[in-house]
Amino acid sequence: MKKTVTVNIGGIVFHIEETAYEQLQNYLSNIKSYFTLSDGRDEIIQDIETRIAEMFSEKISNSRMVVTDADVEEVMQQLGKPSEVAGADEATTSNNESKNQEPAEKKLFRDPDDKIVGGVCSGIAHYLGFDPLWLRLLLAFSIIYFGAGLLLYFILWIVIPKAKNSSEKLAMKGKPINLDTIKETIEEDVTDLTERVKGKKPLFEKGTSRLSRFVEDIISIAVQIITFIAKFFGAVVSIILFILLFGLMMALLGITGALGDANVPVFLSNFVLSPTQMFIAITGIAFLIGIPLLLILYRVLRYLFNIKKEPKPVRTTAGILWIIGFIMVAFIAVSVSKNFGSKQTASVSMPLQQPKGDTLYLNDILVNKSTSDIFIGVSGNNNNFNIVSNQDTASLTLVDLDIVRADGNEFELIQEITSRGSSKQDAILGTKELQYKISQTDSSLALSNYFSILPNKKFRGQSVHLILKVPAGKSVYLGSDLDLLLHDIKNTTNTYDDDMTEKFWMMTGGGLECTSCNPNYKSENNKKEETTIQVSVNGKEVKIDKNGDTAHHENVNIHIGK
Amino acid sequence: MRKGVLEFCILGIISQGEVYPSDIISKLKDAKLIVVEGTLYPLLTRLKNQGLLAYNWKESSSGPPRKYYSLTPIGEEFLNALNQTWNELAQAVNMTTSK
Repeated sequence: MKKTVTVNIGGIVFHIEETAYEQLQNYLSNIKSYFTLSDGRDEIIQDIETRIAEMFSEKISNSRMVVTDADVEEVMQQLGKPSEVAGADEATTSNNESKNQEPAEKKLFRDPDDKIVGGVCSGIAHYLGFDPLWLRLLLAFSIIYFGAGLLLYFILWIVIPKAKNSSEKLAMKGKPINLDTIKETIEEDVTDLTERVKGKKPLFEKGTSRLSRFVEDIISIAVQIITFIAKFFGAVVSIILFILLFGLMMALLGITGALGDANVPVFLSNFVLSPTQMFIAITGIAFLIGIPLLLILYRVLRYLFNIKKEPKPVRTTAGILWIIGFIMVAFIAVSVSKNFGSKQTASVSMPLQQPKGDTLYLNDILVNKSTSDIFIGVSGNNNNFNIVSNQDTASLTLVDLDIVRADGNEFELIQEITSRGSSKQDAILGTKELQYKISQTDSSLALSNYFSILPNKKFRGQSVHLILKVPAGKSVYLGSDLDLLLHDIKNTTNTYDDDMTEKFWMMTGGGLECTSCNPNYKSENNKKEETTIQVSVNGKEVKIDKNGDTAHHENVNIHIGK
Repeated sequence: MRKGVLEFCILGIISQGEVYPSDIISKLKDAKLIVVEGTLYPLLTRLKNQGLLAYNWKESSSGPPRKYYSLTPIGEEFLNALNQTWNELAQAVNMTTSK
């Protein structure tokens, strides 16, 4: 059951469902909005209404007296959408173009029809929408007073394209490109030409034309030269990029020679990555670097032999493979970083013989490099980080030494091994998978500056931190290479680690104190307590033997540093 | 372009004798020159306002009275001119497109 209303359409009375009525009214007022009074809006609407009445009366019969929604729907379909009704009659709406139509996009061209030299000024003036006269005056002014305007003008002349055809001329003036406007420009050209033929205008513009043609020639040559230079540089850059990428890939893929002795892959494959990970990593890197390489190579060949643009499938495939490579490398990066997620430190007290005297002599066992080894090194002054590796073992110089005061009366050596791993257990395991060597003979203690990863074990970011505890009043002698191990050792004179070697240091309350730094004291390398000091007190004579400080005095106070 | 052609066709149809819009529509629809009826009415009104067309009312047996359109002398003249242009254009197109 629906409510109906009675309407008069085109002079005929209809019963129409209320919803259908509203729909129809909307439709008509919508059409109405597309026309103005001057277009004959009322008459158009009336005609359409008449037509609607006609269609309705065809549908109405004695048995079916009411116009329904479906009828209105059908009528609207037959008449078309309001926009279609209005759209077919563009001429009526063209008056309101600015209102209904978006202004066409302006483009910057040089205007060949309105030029003095190259049409640059008029082109810019079209683009910005003012008279070119002002630009020309400004340009003339700037050429006279600054000179720079000339250069600018020539650059613009080269850069801005000339409007060659009607549609470009329209785009230059920001006019919409349609048949009417194109017709207009052509007509303009034709009248221009007829005027010239009739002698109202010179057939060829004299002077300016010759000048502009001459300059145009020069510029086209300049453009060719610049293009050539640009292409040449492009080729050079491509080649350099190619070499760099090639070197990087070779280095990463394990072909030695590109980065000195460095051979990252063997170390990585033996001590960091599992075989599967290594395979994925190598494939990924090959894609990631190799594909740009091949593309560059292809471009160069294309340029050299003038081959057409590469077919689309090639580019798509290359793109996909590159992305796959990227994903593979990212996957490896993530899975490897997971292996380094957890961190654990294990602390062990190392066996240490107490020296006979009060001084412990510290020396360094340097990492050995045999010819078959692979060496990866980052060398700073004293912050060398080296990996010496062969198929079975890897030695890493990730060892440092701290010297602190002992609580008791004995020397102590503590070894702290830090390791990372995928889990806590894995990290603890990591601390046990390395070997660190020390050796002691009497009072001489040799510390390695490296540790070794045991065969078939993986490197998990291990490092060794040694703490030597020295009792107060006792001394250490730091050997010459020990600066490779020393790390921020507290001492009374704030001496840098590097400067602490080859000196005797005694433990005091405030840290180590240098006992051989007295300027009067002549340092003797590797001087041991075994050095015999003969003091013969023969009335007046004091003699210090071997390295020969002798003094002849009656009353002598002898001080021998510990 | 289509717009001009459509007008040309409408004038052509009307020149064959008095017609009312539904006749024009069915002919245009047969020729597939027009898709929806609504477009015709604004066009007719404009042509009438330009003085090319005239109409008179005729009673209809079913429904409201109908407008029957016919060409005015100006309309006929305009149609002739259009015909001429069209022939020239058609010839030009044939000449340039045929190999």
